[in-house]
Amino acid sequence: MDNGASSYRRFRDNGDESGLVEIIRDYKDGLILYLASIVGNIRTAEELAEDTFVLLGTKKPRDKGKGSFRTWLYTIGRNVAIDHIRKYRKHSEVSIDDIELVSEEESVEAAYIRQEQKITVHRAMRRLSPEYRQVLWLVYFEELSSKEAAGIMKKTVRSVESLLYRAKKSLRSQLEKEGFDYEKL
Amino acid sequence: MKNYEEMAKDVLHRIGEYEEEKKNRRSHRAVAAGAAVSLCTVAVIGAGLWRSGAFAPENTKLAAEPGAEIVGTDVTLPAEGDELKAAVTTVTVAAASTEAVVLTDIQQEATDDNGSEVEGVCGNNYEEGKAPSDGTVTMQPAGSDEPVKGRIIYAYPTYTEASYRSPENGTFFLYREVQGALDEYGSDENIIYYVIIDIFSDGHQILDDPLAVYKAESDRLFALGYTSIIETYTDQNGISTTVLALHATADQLRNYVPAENYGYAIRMHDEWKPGMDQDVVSFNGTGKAVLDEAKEFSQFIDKDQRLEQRASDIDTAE
Repeated sequence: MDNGASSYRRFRDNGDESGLVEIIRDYKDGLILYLASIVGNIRTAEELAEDTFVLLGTKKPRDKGKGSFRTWLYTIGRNVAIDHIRKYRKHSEVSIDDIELVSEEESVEAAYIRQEQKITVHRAMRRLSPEYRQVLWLVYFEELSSKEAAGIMKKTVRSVESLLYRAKKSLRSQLEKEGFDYEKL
Repeated sequence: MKNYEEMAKDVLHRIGEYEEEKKNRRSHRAVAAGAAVSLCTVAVIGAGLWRSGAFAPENTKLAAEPGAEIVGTDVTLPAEGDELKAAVTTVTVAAASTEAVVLTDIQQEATDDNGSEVEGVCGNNYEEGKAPSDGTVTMQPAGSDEPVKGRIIYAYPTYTEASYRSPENGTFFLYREVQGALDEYGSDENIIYYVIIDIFSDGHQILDDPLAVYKAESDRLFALGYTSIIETYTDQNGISTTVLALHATADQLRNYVPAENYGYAIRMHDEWKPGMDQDVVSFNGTGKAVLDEAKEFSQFIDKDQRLEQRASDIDTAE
């Protein structure tokens, strides 16, 4: 487990609120962008990220200690996002807000993703399907292993690898359209 | 977009709200549970007092005793070998002073004003030709000063409905619940059955102005060794009902002696209802046992525990 785990334990076991604040500081942006890859809306993703932290603070779930804290946190976030999607299934996945919120998302990704190349790739990912976005985000931006990504996405490692292959192919096609050099992907 | 400090602030605020709401829900539940328990307690006590006749007019004097609290009731039977068999119903009350006072509800006039202990036999104290006042309980005199404690069975479940043919003159029948109680409790000398006798003449129940008939029957039954009681109740609408009741042993019920000119249907004094308590199938006629048992049994959630406790009580009583 990483530092997030010890911060969370401090909060959960001793009621130290600074532990939760540290978690929000360290994982907020990554979680928002990951959740945005699921719900397709950065503002909704931000609300869901907040809901995820509130859930940590109220239910105080116990992690099983099998993977990294981030993997565990993203799994919770994903479940929160799926609940949200179920609840608002009738609404279209991508709303008009997406267009208006692009600048906001760009500022988040700029703060979170330091490399220019990755920012370009991430922007291209917006045009991919949610599953492709998710797996690419987890593996390339969060630098998780296929096994960890599989744990979060509740898929087998083989499924994730297959999904990743197809996602890369789709992304490559998208980047080609934009004249981007994808050889390093 | 919020920065992490803003989000942390919002998250902690929402967590605080959640904890507050949880605390409120807990306290509301506790208040609701407390209210429910209080309500149930009041209902149980009310039912017990109602059964004990504490609200009946004849107990007005008892209820009016300042600071008096009913602490116990007993029904006593005379010792064997006495010429006359009758019962004494006593109500034990705690007076305002620390000294306990035993009052006979029929013979309250005999109670010393200074609260000394009085325990006496009941007289046939209704006035000739005059209807008893509402709720009057009249008992025949007993012939013994060495009473034996008895237990009254006044309700019994049958779980069935039945219709009965009117008894012909010179005959009687027992309602099914009476038969059931006799089968279960038998002829134990310390068990008496509290029943009501409906009197019929030529196939028709005597309902209009039955007091004279009841009085005559009461005298006849007393002469035969029964303990008869004439009771008048007034319901909330002011309608009075007078009944002839008996405290009888099993043998007295089984071998009831009918008059030639009347038919008799004998039923339990109270109708047993599932709502009373599934586990309590018999009660002390005064209501004290109802209250005590209800309190006692309410401490057990598990039905088996209740049944074990009940079996233990019966063993102890025996």
